[in-house]
Amino acid sequence: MAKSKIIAAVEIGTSKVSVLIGDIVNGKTLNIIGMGQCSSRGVIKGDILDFKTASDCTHAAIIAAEKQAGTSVEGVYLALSGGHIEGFYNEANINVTTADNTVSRRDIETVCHLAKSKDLPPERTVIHHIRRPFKLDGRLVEDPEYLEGRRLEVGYWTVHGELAKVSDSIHIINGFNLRVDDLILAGLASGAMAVEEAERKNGVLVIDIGSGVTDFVLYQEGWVETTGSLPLGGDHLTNDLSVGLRVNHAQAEKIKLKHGRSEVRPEDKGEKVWLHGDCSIGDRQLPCQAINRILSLRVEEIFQLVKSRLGSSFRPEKLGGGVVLTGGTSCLEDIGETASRVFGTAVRRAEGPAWMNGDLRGPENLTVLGLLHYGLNNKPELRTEPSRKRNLLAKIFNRE
Amino acid sequence: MSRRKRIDPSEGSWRDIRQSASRKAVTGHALRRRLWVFAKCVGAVVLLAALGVGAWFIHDRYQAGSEPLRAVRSAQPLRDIVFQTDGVLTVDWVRESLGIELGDDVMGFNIHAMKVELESLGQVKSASLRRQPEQLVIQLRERLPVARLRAREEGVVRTLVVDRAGVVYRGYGYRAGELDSLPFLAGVALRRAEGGYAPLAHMDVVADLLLTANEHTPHLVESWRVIDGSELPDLLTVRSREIEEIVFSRERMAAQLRRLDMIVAENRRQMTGQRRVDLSLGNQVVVR
Repeated sequence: MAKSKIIAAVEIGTSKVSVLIGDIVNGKTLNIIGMGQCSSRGVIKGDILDFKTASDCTHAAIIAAEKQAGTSVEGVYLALSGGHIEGFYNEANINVTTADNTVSRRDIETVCHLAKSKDLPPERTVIHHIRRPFKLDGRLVEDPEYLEGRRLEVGYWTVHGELAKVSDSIHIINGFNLRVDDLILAGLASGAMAVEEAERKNGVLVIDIGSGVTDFVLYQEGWVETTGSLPLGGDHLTNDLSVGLRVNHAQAEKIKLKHGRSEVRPEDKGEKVWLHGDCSIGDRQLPCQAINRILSLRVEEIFQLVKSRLGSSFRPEKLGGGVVLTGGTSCLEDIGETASRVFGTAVRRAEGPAWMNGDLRGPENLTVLGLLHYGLNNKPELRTEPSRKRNLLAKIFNRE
Repeated sequence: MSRRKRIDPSEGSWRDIRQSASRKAVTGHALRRRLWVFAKCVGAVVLLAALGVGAWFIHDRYQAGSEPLRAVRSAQPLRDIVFQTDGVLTVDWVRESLGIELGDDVMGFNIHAMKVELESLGQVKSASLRRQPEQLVIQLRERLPVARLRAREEGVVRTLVVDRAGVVYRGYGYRAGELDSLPFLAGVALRRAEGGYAPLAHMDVVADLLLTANEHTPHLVESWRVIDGSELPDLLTVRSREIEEIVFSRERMAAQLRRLDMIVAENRRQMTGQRRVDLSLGNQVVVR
């Protein structure tokens, strides 16, 4: 008899709350059995400002997913994002203790412990310790146990966030009488779905541009090099349009989705678009050049900030996989060209695997899909190790 | 200077955050879901209880169904008791012992239980009961007492009787003085058993002696007071009014009694007496 386990993934975004419920069969195959979405309220730039309203939206989305799945969930995998998320790198090294210079399990545990021990700013809490490969006498090794060497090194990229904001996100789920089984950085969840193992080996930068937050993950040689979050996203584009064109927020959002591009083209000069297009009172023409100029400046600023945050970690020559854009704002026309211009590498827009249901393949759903992916591969010590992901990707979303 | 805390890999993680929500954080959706979960739990408990009650009901019905069938009958009052016995017991004694009265429902009598009760009383060797319309037929075979003995029961010394088979019982229904002709039995161990006393061994020897003596020399038996069975089954010692000890063996009792008759007759003629006569030595008689 097949063993079945129900897991749920929740992303509390700035524009919408997404919930997916998956059924893991025999610990290998994941079937998506329920989906729920609700417009988000009370969340700005990834931070929860109105707990009650945000809870209402989240709980409504969970109920919708449970109703579709026809089952109840007990725990969820929750995506975490926001401007408060930061990270730092810390490494440690030890001399191998055994007389014959063979690395023992104790040596590995000691060096890992030292690398993860680091002063943390007050009122911060650790989200992830992401390990980089071991170095034994300077050579990279995946598992140094039983290997011979004198000096063992390892580094961890530690992701941490503001304790109060992390607690708020967790307590929204707790308010529905559910527990948070795991908390996963939204960028990591998107990255797990957006890029293949080979791309991670070659080096790839995944940028998830949401409504309020832009998350990014840089992979080098198959490992997570750095992560980050910016409190900027598609909402800022809308705001800029609203201010620059003197239209309200809804009108600006509509213009962005219908006519917006992140690059100014020569043919934009002199071209105009109607605000409503129905000759109603207040309907007027807006210059395309102005629209696209506003958008391109903001998009370029976002990419410049990402590049700036990456600092010396970002080396175009090391990005064989280029830049992969995901998130709802990545659907903006010509955004790839802007990214390519800023980063100087090849850029592509992410999509879910080809065998996935069409509704779910869009870049705006990759985060919540990535959470389910982590749920399927529920091994905390390994979940950030890319070598495990290729087989799982082949097994995931095997819908009947 | 800002306060900084040291990360221990096992500490400082988001997993240290206590996962609980205050009442205020519970939304209407969550409340409805909680109520639904609670209702499901209650429903499950009720279902289990219903299953339990159902199982008990079926079990109960099954048990009721396995009861023996009872014949549909009409009540028939007892009008008469037909009583037959080869002894001294009376119908009144039987009625009192069994606790039955005229007018009782004849078809309600447990004949087997009544038979067992009667045969447990000692004096009844066997009982036969038969139910007829408005009539109960009781036939008894009683034990014949061969000797008397005395025993202390609940602080009172009672006279009991013993039959040929060694069964000790209280004698009911005997006329006054009827048992007085029986000699007392001495020198035997009386042991308690369930509902009375254990049967005495070798009472057939005693019974044979008395039967032979009553047949051949009844005038001698009248003077016998005590039979000592301490040396049974080989020897019997009789204490009489004329001779203090008369010792018999179990062999050729008639001959032993003839010799005793002669000795007693000679004593009467010579107006002499003996304290002890031992007849157990075959052709030899030892007289003291």
